[in-house]
Amino acid sequence: MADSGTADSRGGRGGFGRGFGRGGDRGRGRGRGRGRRGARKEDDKEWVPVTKLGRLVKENKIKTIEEIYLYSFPIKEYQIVDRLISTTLKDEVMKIMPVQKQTRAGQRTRFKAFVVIGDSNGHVGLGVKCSKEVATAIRGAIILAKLSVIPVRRGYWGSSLGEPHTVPCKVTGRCGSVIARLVPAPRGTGIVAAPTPKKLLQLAGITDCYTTSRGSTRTLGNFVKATFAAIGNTYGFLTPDLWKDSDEIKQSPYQEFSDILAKAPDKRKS
Amino acid sequence: MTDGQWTSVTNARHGNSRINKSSFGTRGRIKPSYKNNTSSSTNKSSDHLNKNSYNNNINNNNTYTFSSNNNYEQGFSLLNEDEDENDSSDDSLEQENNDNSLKPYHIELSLKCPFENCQHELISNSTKLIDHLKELHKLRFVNLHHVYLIIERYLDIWSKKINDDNVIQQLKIEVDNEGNKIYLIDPDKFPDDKILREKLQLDKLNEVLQIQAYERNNDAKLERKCLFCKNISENRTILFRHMFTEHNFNIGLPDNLVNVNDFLTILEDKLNNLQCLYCEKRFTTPAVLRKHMRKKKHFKINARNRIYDKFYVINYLEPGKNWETFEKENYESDEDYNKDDSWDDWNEEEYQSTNCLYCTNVSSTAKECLNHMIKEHNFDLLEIRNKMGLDFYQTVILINYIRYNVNNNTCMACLTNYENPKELLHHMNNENCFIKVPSLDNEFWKDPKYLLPTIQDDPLLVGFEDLSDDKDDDLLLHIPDNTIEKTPENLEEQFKHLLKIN
Repeated sequence: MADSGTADSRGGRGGFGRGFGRGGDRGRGRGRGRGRRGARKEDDKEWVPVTKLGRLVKENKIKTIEEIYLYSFPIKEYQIVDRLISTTLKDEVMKIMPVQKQTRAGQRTRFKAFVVIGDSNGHVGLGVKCSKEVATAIRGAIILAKLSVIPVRRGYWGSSLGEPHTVPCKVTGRCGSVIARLVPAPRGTGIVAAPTPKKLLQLAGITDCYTTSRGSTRTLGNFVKATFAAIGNTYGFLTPDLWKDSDEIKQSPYQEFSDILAKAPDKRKS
Repeated sequence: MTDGQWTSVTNARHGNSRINKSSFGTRGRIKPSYKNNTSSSTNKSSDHLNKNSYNNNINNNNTYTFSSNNNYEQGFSLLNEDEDENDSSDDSLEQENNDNSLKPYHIELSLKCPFENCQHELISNSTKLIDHLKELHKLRFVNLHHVYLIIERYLDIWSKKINDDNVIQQLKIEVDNEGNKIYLIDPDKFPDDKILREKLQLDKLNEVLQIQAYERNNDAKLERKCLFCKNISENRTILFRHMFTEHNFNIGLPDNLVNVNDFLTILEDKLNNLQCLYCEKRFTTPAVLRKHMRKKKHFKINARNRIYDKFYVINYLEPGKNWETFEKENYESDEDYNKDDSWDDWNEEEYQSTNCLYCTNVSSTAKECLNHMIKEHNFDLLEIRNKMGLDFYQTVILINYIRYNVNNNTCMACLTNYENPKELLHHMNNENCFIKVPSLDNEFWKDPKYLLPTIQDDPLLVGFEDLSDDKDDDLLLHIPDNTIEKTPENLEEQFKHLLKIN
């Protein structure tokens, strides 16, 4: 009994010691040190999916993101994308700029972050987020970029040797006044484009491509979005090899796994 | 039950120190209290007295005494050394600052006063600056501490402005204690000043963001040794995470900082000078310094020290607001975040230096380059394209072919080789070879090597198809002139004719 007491106490004190450490953190936080926000200790909290798709992904019933694209499900949780293609996703901050807004109490300036994310193998996403702190804006933009990931279709220029390396056909995309056009190129051309869309094309996995543009390309935001639209149109273009309809119309995953979805989600153990 | 007793103890300050001590397990102090508490029938909050008595028991004192002062003091005397250290963890700073006669925004600077009639002496801190401006130049700026980050430029501009009589007339004058007249520059009452401050701040912010972008791509990927241990981290994110998880050292996310290398160097210097980062007291040896920081948990930076302000990007956002005001503003509208997330705001001119096809001229955009070539060399690429009916790929081949030849100092039309670019240019000018584009049955049109760009990242390849001329093509209906004169009946007949054909 005494032993259990001491075990408890040790555990308790150990816990309390740790608790006190954390309390100390909070105490420090309450003081002046907290202005400098730092890395959160628990960055990877357990993901509790909220959507049906999320639950299926968590249970590993959906193995590739292509299955999601096949049925055009909207992706509302960024952890889905993380799980399915996290290993190769690379993000790049294209621009951080201050934006101002007039309020009654003077001007309010915030940071806006533009982020492009991609795995250099057929998936890209774009995100933009505004926030008071640079790090928060970047983090928010990365999440939005993950939610907007889109598949990229690549093809060949001449002979279909090796891996696809260029866009399958001439595609255009437009946003605002900017029209961006991607033209197939032979192997070894590289990406012939303005610097900012070039980053986007590199992260998409397109190795060779010519680009032209029209309109006010000074508005880089619209220019990048137009290029993104053009990349998205690669799968929107019906080429003869896609004429053959896929004969088996499979069940949608929601129906296939309806039994798993019907189970009420595990409540957190209180 | 025991929990309740613990919490009551934590409220007491001395209890604080006790628990810390026991959690560290230093000085071989045995975990005493449980046995004590269960045996004592009282649930007094003065549990420390119980512990105290237990300690005394260990020290061969057999009696339980609760309220005798002797034991109290004795027990506490045992803790004396630690107690002093722990006691004043957060309070010492308050005291220090109260003792200091320094103003709250005292900061070390180093700048030369730019105003005229001044010896341009080096001013080393803000208090001296304010005094200097007041005495020598009869100026007082309201809220000068708002602009410390841009102080040099600000004073530069003001030194020129102050010579302008119009400006001086607008400034208010106040009289100080000794009866001297002093000009008051107040941004609230003098809107030009406010606009100036905001503009300078925005410029500085953009610069800082550029520096940060550069750092993000270059410096942050370099290795660096941890400040406190021997660990070397591959890049900056890992370094910060390590310092946070291993040493509980938090100075913020690297994305919120600028000039991080300088920042870390300053901190390293402080540590090398055996100075604690938080309370800034000096110690005798590194071991003592470490012990102090560990015990007092001073693995953080002094929030009051304004030297660190310039390393945080958030301080550059608006003049007069540093991170403290943003902290307090936390409750303000974080909610209207969706309206600001449009891509239209991003306006930036990307200058790509384009080389002229024939001479050494460099233009900043492809369009300029095309215009230059029309003007200087009478070479209109777009016209040639239209005339010869070249499609996209053929134009690309043509451009690459020309570049290739010019690189080899060969004329594309006559295929004669020359010694250097000047001679080639001379020849082309004479013979007007610019417009002599080889005909379409020439072999090079089919040569695949000309599909690959001759120059890496050739902006001319991107920009030649600038169809902004016929931008309105889709919108306008191109009616040939002669039809306008025709009468409506004629048109109707024409339409009928067409319909009949169909």
